[in-house]
Amino acid sequence: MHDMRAYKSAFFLQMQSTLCYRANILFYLTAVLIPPLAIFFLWRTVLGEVDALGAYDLGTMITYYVVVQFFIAHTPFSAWVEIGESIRDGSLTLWLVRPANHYGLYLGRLLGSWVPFWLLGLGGTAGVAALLHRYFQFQTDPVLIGAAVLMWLGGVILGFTWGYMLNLVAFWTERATGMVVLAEQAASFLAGGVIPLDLLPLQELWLFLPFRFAGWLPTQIYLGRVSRSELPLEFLKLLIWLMAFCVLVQWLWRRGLRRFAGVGV
Amino acid sequence: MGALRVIKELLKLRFQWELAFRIDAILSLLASLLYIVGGVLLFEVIYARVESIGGWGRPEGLALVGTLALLLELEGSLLRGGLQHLPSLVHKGRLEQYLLRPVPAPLLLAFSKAIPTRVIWRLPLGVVVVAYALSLAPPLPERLLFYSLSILISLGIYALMVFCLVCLSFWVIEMQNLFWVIYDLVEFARYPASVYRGVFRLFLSTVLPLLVLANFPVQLLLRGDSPLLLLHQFLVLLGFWGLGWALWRRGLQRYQGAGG
Repeated sequence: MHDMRAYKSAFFLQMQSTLCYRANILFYLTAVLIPPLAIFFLWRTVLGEVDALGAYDLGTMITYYVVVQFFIAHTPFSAWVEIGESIRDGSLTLWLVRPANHYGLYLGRLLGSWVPFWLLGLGGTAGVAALLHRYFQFQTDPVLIGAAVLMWLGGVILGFTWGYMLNLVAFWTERATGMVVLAEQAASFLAGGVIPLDLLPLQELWLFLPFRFAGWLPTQIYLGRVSRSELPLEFLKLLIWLMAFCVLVQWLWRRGLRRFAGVGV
Repeated sequence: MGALRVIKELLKLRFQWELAFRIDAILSLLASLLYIVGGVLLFEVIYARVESIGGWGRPEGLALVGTLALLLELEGSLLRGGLQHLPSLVHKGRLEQYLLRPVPAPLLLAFSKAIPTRVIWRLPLGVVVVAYALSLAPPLPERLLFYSLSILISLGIYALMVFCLVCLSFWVIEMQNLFWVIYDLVEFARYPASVYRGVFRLFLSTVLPLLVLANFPVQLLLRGDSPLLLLHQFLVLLGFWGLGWALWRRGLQRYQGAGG
């Protein structure tokens, strides 16, 4: 067991580093402001002609997109491109000589870098909800809100692990950028960012995959569509997926290090 | 002519460079495919329930998805990498390596990170969607010409919009996320123009001309709209060219190089 101080330091240092560029954080607000506003116009037109699409009426649909956009825009599906690049250019050596787990350090750094974005994003999402208050459905049950956030935080770690895993592919390929971009696109789509997963054909398949934990499922919890009795089972499923991903990461890491040819420190 | 020759050589070199990473190219092709499939699925789910979206039928909706994909691919493959490189050059004071060449620096910069292989790999995806839309509602032949012209002007407008944005790096130090502003704004271009109303629609057609990008080409192709839309696009292009030029000139006055 490594000393936790290293990970905590990584978390706080990265947060400080992120906070140095406050304008940069502010610009990212558009990720939670613009897409739900744009799609609002589409759904207002479509659901002005039909009452509902599946189980979604206009209010539910608008709420879905506002909330899911917050979750997905703040989930690091591609982890950190730097991981793949450091493997490719050999600078990973600098991380290997440190007495800490590489995955843990990057997770700490990544969470530290995202916290300011999450807080500001929450304000932005509240702003969009206020702007669309005629349509937005505010959840008043604190248990459901808490469960949705907790589920999403699990999804964040799952999303990071997914991205980290794909960055490790750089041990075998010359460049992992394409893989990471694909991972990001696929995960964002499969998390329900483009269209609610329960409106898609073959929905059983999409709802089996783990990406729903980062977007679709927390949003469904927020909307009150997942009963309290179902929550423990969903959390268990999340945990199983997370453990499976972690085992796979360890396996890839060990295999990859055998191939790795780094530069000198 | 000299500038064109340099750009041609640049594209050739970048083509050879990219060919070295074939697996990466296949994976990024899949990413593009997913983006288009997402757009198509969204419209298919909607059109399974309604006849039209504010008067836009299924062929128009699909053509919009394909056209926007074409445009984003062209910009993403040929210009985005180079334009996004400007903030880092300004930040590190290394812009001289472009300013000292006997070619207009913005042009050289724009094409410096082009990925021509991506155009070959990915462009057909958008083309297939547009072709399918056309098979559902065949247009008049002259409409194809209007469409092609319109796409070219849209590409110019979009590139200039991104250029104006990256020119802000002369004033803002860390602007990595500023790119997302423009890419997020493109969300407004993904949906039929008819979903927007009144002043907001006018705003999206002039000041922030996102509807001009993909909606106008489709309106010319399948909705039989007047070719005057081309003139509208051209005026918007001129406006952004002027703004880009002014920002570049003012920015260069602020720029401090690191020498070398």
